[in-house]
Amino acid sequence: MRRTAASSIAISILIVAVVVAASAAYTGYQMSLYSAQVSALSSEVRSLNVTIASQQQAIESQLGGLSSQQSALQSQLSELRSSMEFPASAVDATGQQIVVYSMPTRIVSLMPSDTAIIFAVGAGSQVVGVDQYSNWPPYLSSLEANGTIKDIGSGWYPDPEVILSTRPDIVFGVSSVPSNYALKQQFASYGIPVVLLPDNTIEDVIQSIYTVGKLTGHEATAQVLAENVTTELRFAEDNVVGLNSTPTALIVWPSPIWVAGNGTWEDQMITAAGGSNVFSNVSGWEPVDPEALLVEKPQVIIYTAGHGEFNYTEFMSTLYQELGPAANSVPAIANGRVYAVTGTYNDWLTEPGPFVGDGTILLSVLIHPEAYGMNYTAIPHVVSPETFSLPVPSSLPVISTPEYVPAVSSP
Amino acid sequence: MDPIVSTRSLALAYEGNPVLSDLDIDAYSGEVLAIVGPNGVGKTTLLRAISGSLAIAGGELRCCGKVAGARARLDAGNRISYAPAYPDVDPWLSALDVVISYRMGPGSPWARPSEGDRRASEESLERLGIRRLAPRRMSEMSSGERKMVMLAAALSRGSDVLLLDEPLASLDLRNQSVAMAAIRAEARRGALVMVTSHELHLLRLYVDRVLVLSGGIPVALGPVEDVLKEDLLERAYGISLRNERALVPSLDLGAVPLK
Amino acid sequence: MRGGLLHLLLPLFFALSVLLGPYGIVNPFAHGLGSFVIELRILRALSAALVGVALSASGSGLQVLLKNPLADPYILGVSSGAALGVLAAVAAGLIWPLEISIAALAGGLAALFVVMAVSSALGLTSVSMILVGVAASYALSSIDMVLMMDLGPAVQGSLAWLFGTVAYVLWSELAYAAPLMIAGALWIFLRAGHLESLMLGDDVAESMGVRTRRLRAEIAVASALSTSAAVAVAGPVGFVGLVAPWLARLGSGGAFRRTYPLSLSLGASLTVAADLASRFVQPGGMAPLTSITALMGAPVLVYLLARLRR
Repeated sequence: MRRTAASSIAISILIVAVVVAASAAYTGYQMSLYSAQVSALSSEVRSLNVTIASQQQAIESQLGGLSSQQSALQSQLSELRSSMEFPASAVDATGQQIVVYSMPTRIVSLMPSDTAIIFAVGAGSQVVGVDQYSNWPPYLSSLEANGTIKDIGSGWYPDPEVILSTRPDIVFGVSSVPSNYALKQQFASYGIPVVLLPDNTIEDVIQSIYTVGKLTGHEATAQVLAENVTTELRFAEDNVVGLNSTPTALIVWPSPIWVAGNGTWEDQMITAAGGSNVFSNVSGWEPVDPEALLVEKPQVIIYTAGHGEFNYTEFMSTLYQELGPAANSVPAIANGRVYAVTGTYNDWLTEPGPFVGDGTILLSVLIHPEAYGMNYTAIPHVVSPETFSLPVPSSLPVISTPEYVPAVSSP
Repeated sequence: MDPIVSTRSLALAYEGNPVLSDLDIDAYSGEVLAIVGPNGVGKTTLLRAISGSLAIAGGELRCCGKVAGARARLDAGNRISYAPAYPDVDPWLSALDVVISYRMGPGSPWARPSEGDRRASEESLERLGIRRLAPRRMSEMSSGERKMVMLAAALSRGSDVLLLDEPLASLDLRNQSVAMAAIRAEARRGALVMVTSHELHLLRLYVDRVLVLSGGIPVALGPVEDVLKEDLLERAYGISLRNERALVPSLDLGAVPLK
Repeated sequence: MRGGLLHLLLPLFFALSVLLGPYGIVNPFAHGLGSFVIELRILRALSAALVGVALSASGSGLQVLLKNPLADPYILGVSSGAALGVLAAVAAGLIWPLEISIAALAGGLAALFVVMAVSSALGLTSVSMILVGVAASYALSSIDMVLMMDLGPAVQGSLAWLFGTVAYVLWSELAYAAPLMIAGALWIFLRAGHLESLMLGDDVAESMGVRTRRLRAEIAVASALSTSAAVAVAGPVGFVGLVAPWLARLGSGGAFRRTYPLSLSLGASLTVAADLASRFVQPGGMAPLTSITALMGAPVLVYLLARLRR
């Protein structure tokens, strides 16, 4: 039955073929069904995604609104907290008890050092007037340009009426300037307190920070600031501890040579920075005969060159003109350790403001570079933030530019 | 008639140095008395003592009824008018200002020149022929013109005693004659005019009596024609007039010494 | 006659001085801060006027007394003495306005005392007074310079008292200084007749009963009194005392009795106007009074002199 066998094979093949074809057709049909389902699903997913995204956006915007509400609430809270500190009182350099009944919102500052302290404690947005020499924080000039803060002219020789035109509720001056005393008495009759901050020593600066913080409603920030300044001072002192104190001269004006002597914050900074002020025999700031440099033989001469009024080259040629070849017998000159400090660094050394700590660190680097693992030859003659960055650890608190939060107009 | 100015044993000193002594003079209202003598003899000092600007060193000085003893000054108020030889007037004042201020004298700060003061001052300038100088400032005048303004000022008050120090010096011929006429007019009015002078040849024209001082004392006092004698002047000035006659042309001889 | 209208300058400048300033135009009857600004302006204008009166009184008197057209209130050393007083006070830590003011007064009067003592010994003539005064000024200025160098930065804050300003006057200062300024000016006024006679020459004045020596001493003391008080209020304001008497003489002419009141009124006007101008010449700051009085007075003086020459 070979024929039967063959035909049965053929039939079975046929059957298999039919089955295969049928199953293939079925599968194809199924496939088309699936793909339709998938596309339906994916479009659904897409629309879901869109919904989610829009929901997310809504949530985010709500969140944003919440956070701005939160910050507004926070600032109101801090203002409330500050205003709870009022009435505040403090004693100024003249011994007068100054009482402020509500948070001052119209502050006038007569001196760059006062301005710096006021901004550094966070009272910048309460300031309505500063003297013409105030230059910190850096955005101060733009605030003056857009009219937020008025330039009241010289604080050494201020016009009372210009100050009054800012409608101040408190004025900060310094205790070393006679005209500020006159202003204090004039304004007293109208009840505008003129606070004279002490401005001779580092302790005075710390004291001023507390006084300003208290009277402007920023006691907590002032506390932190004062601690930071102290930490900076201690950092400098710790770095030079045990080192020989190096004879140093700090020249504040080149011609005639005008030095910082005993009883100045510069003198204290030199000492804290591991130097010994060769002109501690003069009191205050005094002009000296150039020949005094030949006698005192400073190892380091630091010259505060302002903001480029009288540069390093001119200063050196003045020294050589006045001393002749004998200039080379001054160790600082012979060894090339004469530094002209300019830019912000200049202000650190010349203002009894919040930068006395930074200034002391700068001095300690210039006087004792070895304490920072440096050779003095690595220090440029013109020392400014552009030419020389301080080798300090990032852990050190530095006085940074405070944020300027425009005052929330109170109801 | 009583003398309006009289001195008895008057002694004068200038800054502590004796200048004149033994002065016994009587001078009367209505006369012009000239004081002559060499430079530095004390003519101006005598005038200043009578004017009251100098304390006397000794003796006694009477004027206008006031008496000054040793180390005192005479104060006869505006009955005396004095004109210095070299006026030291503020150069910015006008001639009229000078005369008015002189007329008014010191006194009340409220005083303002009356119309009468103004008119009298202008008349006084007119009388000396210098009315045109009235608005001119002193600095714009010659020294002769300044002298004339000062003379006008001194004559403007109608004082009883006029003390004029070298009134004719530095004046031109015309002004000299105007000044001499004005001085004579004052004497006619009844004033005593005392002048000092070096123009001896002019004395005859306007002076009644002459006092000659020499060597710290008065050496002659008398009418012009009696005093201006050659030998007296030779002694007083220490020169020889015979050799220098050309310079002193109009003098007569025959002096009458005072002592 | 011609001078009469010039007296109107004083009320004019005074009114402007009260109405105008960097604070803006203020209603004189405002309340609050505006009223305080007005009070300060009145105090300023009043001080300026009194200082002007005191300085021109002193200058008028001294120009006649010393027969020197360039005499000013400071020729007898008062300003250098007052500056010495200010600097010595600041150096000694006396820094309150009233302390500084009294130190200036004391310094000025002390300088005058020395000058009068020395020139009396030399005969108290115009020449001796001028020479001793100038010598004393130089000597005192040299001490001033030493003190200034010593004081360092504090000097900058004392500049107000060294260059002149009425911005910081207090009622309490004016209360004691005003009577002195007025007394000095009044004293000189009471001697106006004597000074007028003195203009005719010393010996003429003497013949009229003026005791020139005593007059010299009196006028020197009176002028030092008013000048020292003026310096105590406003610092050594310059030029007013020199130029005001001249403006009066050139403006109205005539002798002392006539020019003196005009000189006082012009001196006051000039100082009030200078203070007014000082608020505006520098945006947001003040110029020292002396710089303005000189800037305003000098051209007027030159103009009047030029007109006179024609």
